[in-house]
Amino acid sequence: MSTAATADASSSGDTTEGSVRLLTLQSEDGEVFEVKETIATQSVTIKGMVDDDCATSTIPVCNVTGRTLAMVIEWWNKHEIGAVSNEKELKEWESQFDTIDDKSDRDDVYDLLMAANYLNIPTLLDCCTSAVAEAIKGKSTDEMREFFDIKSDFDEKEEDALRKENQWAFEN
Amino acid sequence: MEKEFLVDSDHTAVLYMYRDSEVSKTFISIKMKFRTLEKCMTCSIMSLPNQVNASIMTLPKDLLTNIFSRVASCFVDNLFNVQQSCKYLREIGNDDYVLQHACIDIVPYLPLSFMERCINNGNVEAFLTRGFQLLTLSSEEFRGLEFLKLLAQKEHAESTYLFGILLLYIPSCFTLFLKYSLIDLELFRQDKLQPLCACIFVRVRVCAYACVSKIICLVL
Repeated sequence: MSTAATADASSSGDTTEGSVRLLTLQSEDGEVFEVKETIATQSVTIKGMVDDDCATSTIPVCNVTGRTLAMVIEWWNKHEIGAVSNEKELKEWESQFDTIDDKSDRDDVYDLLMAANYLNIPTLLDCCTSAVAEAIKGKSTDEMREFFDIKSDFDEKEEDALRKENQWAFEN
Repeated sequence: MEKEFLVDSDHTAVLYMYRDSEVSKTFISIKMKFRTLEKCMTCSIMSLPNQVNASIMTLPKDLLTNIFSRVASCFVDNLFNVQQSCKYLREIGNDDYVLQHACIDIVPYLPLSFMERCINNGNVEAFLTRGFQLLTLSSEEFRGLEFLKLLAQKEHAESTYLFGILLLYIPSCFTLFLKYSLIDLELFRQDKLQPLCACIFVRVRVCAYACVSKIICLVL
């Protein structure tokens, strides 16, 4: 799937393979990916470019690294219509994004969220958003700070006041 | 660094920033609505990631709002826990969109200030709760019904149904019923609503006609 960036990458652009058009995506760190147009248009952003005939040369995906873009393309491949016939299998495959207990998983999900947001991929955005939301649920404030590496910028007084104000929600 | 705007088919603008201005020449910016320009700029610039230290704090605001609304839709205590962790997250948790989706129906007692905020943000559960509270007070029935009516206008199926039932069967709502059934029948005619609401529509209409004919008979 991925080919290293070559000197003539920028001129490769609009290649045709059979009847399927290939789009060339270039990540921020210069990795070049060739993706079928039918797959890449799962991204609303790219679809817009294709519709407006702006996708004839290399498309720079500026703020997404090659590593993340590879994951995004894997997502596209799995979600192409007819790629995975079994709904259950797809859900199982998606579930790898659901748990973000490891630091590395978390970083991946943040990167994917950014990429999904930038490229406007609703399915991926939905999956990653719910992963983070699930991780937030059921954690106390202190657990949250540790888990997400958040530094508190409240002074003690403010925090006490806030806790007091929200106390009612914890009394059930 | 070059900046360029491109509007995709949904008319949502995407801001492309290129380090290499050569590349950008192929993306000649098209039809851009100036009204949305400023907004797009801020949100897109915010979403430029800091790849080195990705953390929940570096996520753009719209993503965090989305995440928080999901958290809040489970129950608000989760939202409060995350809000208490730092000032930035507290601010995002107070966003209108988050409060609109907050689930508040588990606690028996809800502080009035929080309730007001939820109502102001169009939170459906808050509307229903307030509607019921008012309905139980005999002097405030009218206002209670108004809340249900507002929800019905938002095509909230259950409320529309309830609204119809209340109009039909509560004696003190009789005059209101006459008023609404003659004027606001449109409420019950929404396509998206469940068949039940359609039933209500028919019944309300039948009753309305019956009442009108009775009144006419009396007058005559």
